[in-house]
Amino acid sequence: MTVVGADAGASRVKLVLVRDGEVVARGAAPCGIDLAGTAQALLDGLLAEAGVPRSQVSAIPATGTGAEAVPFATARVNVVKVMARAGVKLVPAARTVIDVGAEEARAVRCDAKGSIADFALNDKCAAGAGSFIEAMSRALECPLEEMGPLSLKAGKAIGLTAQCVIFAESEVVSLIHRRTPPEEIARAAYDAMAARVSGLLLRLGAQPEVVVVGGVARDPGFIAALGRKLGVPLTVPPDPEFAGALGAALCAEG
Amino acid sequence: MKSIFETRYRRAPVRRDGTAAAAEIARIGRRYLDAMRARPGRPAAMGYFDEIMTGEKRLDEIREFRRGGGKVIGLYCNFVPEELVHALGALPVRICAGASPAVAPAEEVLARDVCPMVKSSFGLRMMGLSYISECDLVVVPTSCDAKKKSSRFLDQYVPTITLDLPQEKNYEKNLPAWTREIRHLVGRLEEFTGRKLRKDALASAIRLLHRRTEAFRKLHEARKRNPYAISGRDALLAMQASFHDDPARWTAQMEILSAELSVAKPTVDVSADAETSRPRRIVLTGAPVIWPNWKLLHTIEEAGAVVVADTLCSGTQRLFDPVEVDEWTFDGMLRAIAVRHLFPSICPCFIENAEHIDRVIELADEFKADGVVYHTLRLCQLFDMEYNHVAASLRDKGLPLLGITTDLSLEDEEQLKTRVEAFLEMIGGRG
Repeated sequence: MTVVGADAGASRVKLVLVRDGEVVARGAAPCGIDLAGTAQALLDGLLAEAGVPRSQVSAIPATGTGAEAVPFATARVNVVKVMARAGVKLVPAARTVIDVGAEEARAVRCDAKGSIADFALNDKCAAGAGSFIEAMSRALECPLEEMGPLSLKAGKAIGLTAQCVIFAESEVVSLIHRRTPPEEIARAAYDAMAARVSGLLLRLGAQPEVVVVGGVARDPGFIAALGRKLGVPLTVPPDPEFAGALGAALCAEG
Repeated sequence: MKSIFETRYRRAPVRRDGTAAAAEIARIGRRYLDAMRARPGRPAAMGYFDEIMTGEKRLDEIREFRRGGGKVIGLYCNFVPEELVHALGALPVRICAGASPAVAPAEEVLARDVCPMVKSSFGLRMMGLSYISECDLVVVPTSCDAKKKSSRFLDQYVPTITLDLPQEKNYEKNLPAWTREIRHLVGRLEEFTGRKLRKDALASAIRLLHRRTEAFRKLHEARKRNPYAISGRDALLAMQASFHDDPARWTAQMEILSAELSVAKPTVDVSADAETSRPRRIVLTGAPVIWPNWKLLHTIEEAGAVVVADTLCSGTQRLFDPVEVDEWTFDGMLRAIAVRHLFPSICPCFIENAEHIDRVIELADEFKADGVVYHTLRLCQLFDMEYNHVAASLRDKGLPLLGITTDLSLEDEEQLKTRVEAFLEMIGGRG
């Protein structure tokens, strides 16, 4: 059985081609202003790369905030459900899956089959999600991918009091003016973000094994900060940003 | 009638044009109503309630009543006895509101971080819209800070009086003061209407609302059926028509609806009623949901579940309990009215409110619920603070619970959908 899973997030759209439960090909692109067009081009490229004709794809479930806008989607799947499914597929011992995307963070506790046992989602605010770090990287004039490594060089932890992205940005500016080392500011940003994400686990509890997925899971600065905050080992599977698309594909397989 | 507020710093009321807001409110209502009408097997008797809730018919009748010299009295929540108003020949309307386009205008006069429901009612009055704008007098129970403090501002638009609510539901400690307060209200209402409250009129008003409760309880019973006979959206819409409808006519229409439900085939195909795909049965508790703010109900039911029962003060709590009179003397009736309008309430404004937890557990059991949704209206500290207590107690009972914190705006519909679908997935329904 060949299926495609689509995950249209706030920032990027991700597709995976899955045959009999195994990922055959994957592709991602920024959503841009034409999500439907981007997704279509991505699908065409993916099928060409894998040499699979469209007629052989039996289903294309879509998840994520932009799921409704994916023109070829055959079903819409809940984002919490797909993270539980994908987490257990990627790490069979996973019982807690944390997903941090550009605009949203969520945590789900699951059983061995990848069914939802409990879950928590962040509020409307993006302070515990990837766009927070994007704003901080702008303020520090440091490329996004260098933010994590920079934060790991920090000799000490300083606090960032603002919770709001906009206020935090101006707080960072004042820290820069006070000549605070950039690595300490970067670490403070990750610590603030990790505090928000760990807040999701207050009620749920971080039952091992704790798996972190989503685009932000690739950021070593965030993983280090979340590990410090939660005090439990974290597992980041390969290609964590494709977890949503994989989970969607698995939902089609039943 | 002399104002209960100081006149020294009195200000002229701020009024705003309501044309755009009225169109937006109608659009929101139409959107939810269209979705309700699109459901197969919707009872035909709902048509009457649709018209009362969305048409001009009832507002026109009320305007006509006022032109004939009749007085319309706005009741701000469940604690004001409607019986007194009916017995004095006046017309009670419940003025709690759920219209989001009326929220922002009220921030100009009240404040920003105030209960959205209070702001919505207030904004409607500023714009001259809806039932609150047809009131000749408003009675505000001091059930929360937002209502309490908004009363003096409301008095700039319409004579407003308060009803001093006890903070506890203690029979010995609070009932005497509460009964005195109800007597005081009688005096104010007599003064306002220029009529004397007569024993026989009070008895007929009590009986009128007894019949309303009897009719309501048939609907309540019908909601226990499995597969369900009526959606939660329809049930609550019918209940809220009683906010301003003529009670005798509402009762007659509710009897028609109940009769239709009793012979109706199940709205769900029984063959599709396998354990995994049957609609999950939800008890809704927490802050009032008021038309046209059907966001939460719509999200739950469009996701494939059904709200089979509620504890809302804008729903079941309003209609379920009759005034239980032991002695049909004037004093006996007033005392029964006082008891009815204090003790059955599970408003979180009371210091101790364990009955809220009891009620949710009872309903979940009686209605064979699969889960509970607790609605917190953002900026209502009372419902917010009660959440953790209720949640922990339900967890002990093994009852799945979803907490939803939201306001009247439509901007978080997608986030709500994600939460509700994940919850239904968790309790094993269609996600």
